[in-house]
Amino acid sequence: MWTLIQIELFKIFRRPRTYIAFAAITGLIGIIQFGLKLDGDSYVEFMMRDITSSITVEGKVLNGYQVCYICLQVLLVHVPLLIALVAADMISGEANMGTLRIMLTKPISRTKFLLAKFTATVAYTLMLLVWLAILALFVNMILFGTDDLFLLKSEYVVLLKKDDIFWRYVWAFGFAALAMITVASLGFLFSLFAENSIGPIVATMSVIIFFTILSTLNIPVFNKIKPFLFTTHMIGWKEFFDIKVNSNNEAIIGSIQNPQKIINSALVLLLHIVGFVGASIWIFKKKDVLS
Amino acid sequence: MQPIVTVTGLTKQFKNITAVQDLSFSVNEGDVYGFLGQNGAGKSTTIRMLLTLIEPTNGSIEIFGKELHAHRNEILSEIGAVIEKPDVYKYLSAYENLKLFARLSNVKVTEQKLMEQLDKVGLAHRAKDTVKTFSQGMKQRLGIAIALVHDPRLIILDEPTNGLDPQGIADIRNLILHLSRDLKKTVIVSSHLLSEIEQVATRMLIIDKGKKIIEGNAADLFDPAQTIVELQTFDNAYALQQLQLSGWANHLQTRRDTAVLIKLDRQLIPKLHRDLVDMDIQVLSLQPRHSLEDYFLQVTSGNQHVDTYTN
Amino acid sequence: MRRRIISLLLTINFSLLTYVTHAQDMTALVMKVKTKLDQVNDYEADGKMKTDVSFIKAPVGKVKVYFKKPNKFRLKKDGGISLLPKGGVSVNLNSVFATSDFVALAAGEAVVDGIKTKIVKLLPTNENSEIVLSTVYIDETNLLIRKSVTTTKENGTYEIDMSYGQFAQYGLPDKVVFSFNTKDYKLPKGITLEFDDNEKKQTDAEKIKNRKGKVEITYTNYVINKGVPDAVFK
Repeated sequence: MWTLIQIELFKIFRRPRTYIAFAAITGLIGIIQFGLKLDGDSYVEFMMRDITSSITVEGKVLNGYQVCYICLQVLLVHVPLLIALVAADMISGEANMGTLRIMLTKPISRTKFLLAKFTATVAYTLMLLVWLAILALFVNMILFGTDDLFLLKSEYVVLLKKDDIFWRYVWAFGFAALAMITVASLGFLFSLFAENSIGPIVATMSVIIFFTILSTLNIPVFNKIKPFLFTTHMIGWKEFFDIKVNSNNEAIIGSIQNPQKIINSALVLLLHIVGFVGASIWIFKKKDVLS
Repeated sequence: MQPIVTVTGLTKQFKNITAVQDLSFSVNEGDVYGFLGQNGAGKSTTIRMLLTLIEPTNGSIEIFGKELHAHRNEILSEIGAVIEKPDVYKYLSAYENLKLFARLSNVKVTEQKLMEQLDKVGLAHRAKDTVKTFSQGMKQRLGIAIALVHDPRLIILDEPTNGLDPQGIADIRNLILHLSRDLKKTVIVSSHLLSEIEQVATRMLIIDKGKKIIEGNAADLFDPAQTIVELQTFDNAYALQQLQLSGWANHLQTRRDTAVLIKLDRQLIPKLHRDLVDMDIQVLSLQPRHSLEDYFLQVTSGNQHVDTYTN
Repeated sequence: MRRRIISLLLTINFSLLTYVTHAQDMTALVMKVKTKLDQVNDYEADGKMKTDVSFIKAPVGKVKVYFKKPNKFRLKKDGGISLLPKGGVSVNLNSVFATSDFVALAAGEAVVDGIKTKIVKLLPTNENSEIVLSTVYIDETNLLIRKSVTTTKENGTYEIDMSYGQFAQYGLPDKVVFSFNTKDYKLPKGITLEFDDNEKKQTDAEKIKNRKGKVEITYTNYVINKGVPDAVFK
C-alpha cells in the first residue's frame, strides 16, 4: 500500500498540471499582498465604510493576521476549483492516457488502488493548504507584522487580541483541510465516470459553484436545503474567529462563539468524504474498464 | 499439454449489446494463441475479461488452473499484457515508467535489471527521456518491456501491431517467436489481420460478433490440402440435418444461418457435390475458400451472403 | 480621535469650572472643584479599556493615558486595535466651551451611586453650539464630579459616570464609563461571505441589542506630577 501511495504521489508531483494550483495560489496571494502593501489603507477604508459611521477603529487594522484572513476569505472559495483540477483527474486522467488499464492488470486490488490514489489526492490537497498557510499566514506575518484582528461579521464586529489568533488559524487551516478533502473526494468520485478529465473537472466545479450560490442566496425557499449542502459547511473555518462574550459583553479570550456548530459542520463534511469515497470504491470495484 | 487458460461459456452483455456470447476456448502451455476477429468482434472484450478489466456477465475463466476472480492478484502477478495502444505515463521517462510498473508487479528490481530490460527492446539509449518524445514504435517497445519486466508466465498482447510501420510489425513478430521458442512463454495475441498471426500462431481462434467461428491448430487450419467449402441452399437447416446424418458429419464446421461450412480435402469436392444431389439438397452455391485468409475475410466481413464473392 | 473622547471626559471637569459664571450660587462650587483639580499638572496612568457595544465583541484592552495642563491628553493602546464610539467623539467640547457662554443653573439634588450630589445644568448661550444641554452631578462634600449627561444636536445624548478611589484627593477617577446610543449595524452577507442560517444569529444579536453602548476605562495606577514629555502627545 505504501509503495502504491508513493507511486501515486510521484506521479502527481511529476505532472505539470499539479503545479498550476500552486502557481495560482502563489500568484493570487502575491497580488493581494502587492495590492495591500501598495494601497492597503484605501482597502481598509473601503472595507470599513459601513462601520466607520458608528465607530472609530484605530490601530494597525491591516496587519498580517488581517491580510491572511482576507486571503483565506477570497481563496478558500476558489481553491476547491484548483483541487478539482487534480482530484477529478485522478482516475479519468489515467483512463484518458490509457494507463488505467495497465495499472489494473497489475496484482493490486482495485480497492487498494483507489485508496492509494485517494490518499495521494488528500496529500496533494494538504500540501496545497500548507503552501497556502505558508504564503497567507507566515509570509503575511512577516510582511505586515502581527497585531489584533478586527473582523466584520454580518451582524457584529469582532476584535481578537494578537495573542489569541494564531491557534485559531491553526484550527481554521485544519478545518479548511477537511473542507478541501470533501471537494477532493467529490472530484475523485466524478473522475470515475469519464475517460477524459475535462468532464469530471467541469462537473466538480459546477457542483461547487452551484451549491455555493445556493448557500449564499438568502431566499427563504432555499434556506431549508442549506444545511444539507456541504458548501454551507465549508466556510465553518470562520467560526474559529468568532469569540464568546460574557454577560458584560466582554470578549472571553480563547473562546469560540459556537464550537458545536464547528463540530457539526466537521461531521457533515466527514460524512460526505466517507460517502464519496465509499461510493467511489463501490462503483469502481464493479466498473468495466473500457478505456 | 496443460491448458493454461480455460474459458467456458463466457458471455458479456453491455446493456443491449452482446459483446461476447457463450465463448469457450482453451490455451495450452507454450501456445502462441492467435485470437482473430474483425474490429468489434469481441476480441478486446474477451481479453479484458481475462485481465479482470471487465467483469463477465456469465461463464468462467480459469488461468493456471485457478478460478480467475478468486485468485485475481496471484494470477495477474504472472501475466504481462499490452492492451491496444501502448499507453504509459507521457510525462515520465522510459526508465521511470518501467520502474513504476515493475514495483506495482511486486518485483524487486535493480537499476541494472531495468536497464537490461530497456536494452532488450532497444530503448536503453533513451532511458532518461520523457515518453512524450517517443515514436509510436518506441512506445510499443516500452509497453512490451513493461509487460515483461516481471518475467510473467503468460503474455497477452492485444492488437500489438496497431499503428506500427512494417519494421515495427516485423519486430513484434520476432519478439513473439523469441518469447515462445527461446523463453518458453505462453502468448495470447489478438489481431484483426490474419497475416500477422498466421506466421507465429500455433493455435488459433476466430470470433465474429462475439461468437466462436472456428478454433484449431494453426497447422490444420493452414493445411494446403484442406479447404473449406461454403454451401448455400434453399433450406440450410434441412441441408445441415441431412449432412449430419451422412458421412460428412465429421467435416462440418461451424453452422451459420446463411451457409454451411464443410472442411474437406479438395479432391473430395466432386463427391460432396454428388452426395448433395443424392440427398435432394437444393444447392444455390458451393464455393471453396482457397485459403484461410479468404475464409477469415469472408466470415468476418459482416456480409453473410457469399454470392458476391468472386475469386 | 480617541484622544478627543477622553479629553472630553476631562475637559468637562476643567472647562466648565472656568466658564460657568452666570449662576452665581453654583459658581462657588464649581470654582472649588476647579481648584482641587488644579493641583494636578500632569499625570500618566495605566488603565483597562472595555468597549461594550451591542455589535462589538472585543476583549478588554490595556491602555496608557497621559495628561498635561491645560488640556493635552493622550490615550495609547499597547499596540493593538481600539474601537471607540463615533457619536461622542465627534463633539469637540473644547471649542464649544472656549467660544460660548454658559448659563449654569442649579437643578436640585440627586443621589448617584449612593452619594448625594448637586445637579448643575449648563446651557450654552450660543445657538450654534453643538451641545444643547449638559447636566453635571457634583459631589459637594468631596468636590468630585460624579456624572454628566450631555445632549448634542447631531450625536444624541451621552453620559459619563465617574467613580473615585485612592486618587480622589486629586479629583482623578478610578473608573470612567462613557455611555452613548448605538446605531444599528448590519452588513449584507454577501460582503462578509457568510452563508449560515441567520435565525439563530438574530436571537444572539437580539440579546445584546437595545443596550446602550459603553466605553469603560478603569485606571489602576496614576503617576501624578512627575512630568510628561510633550512628545507623548504628538
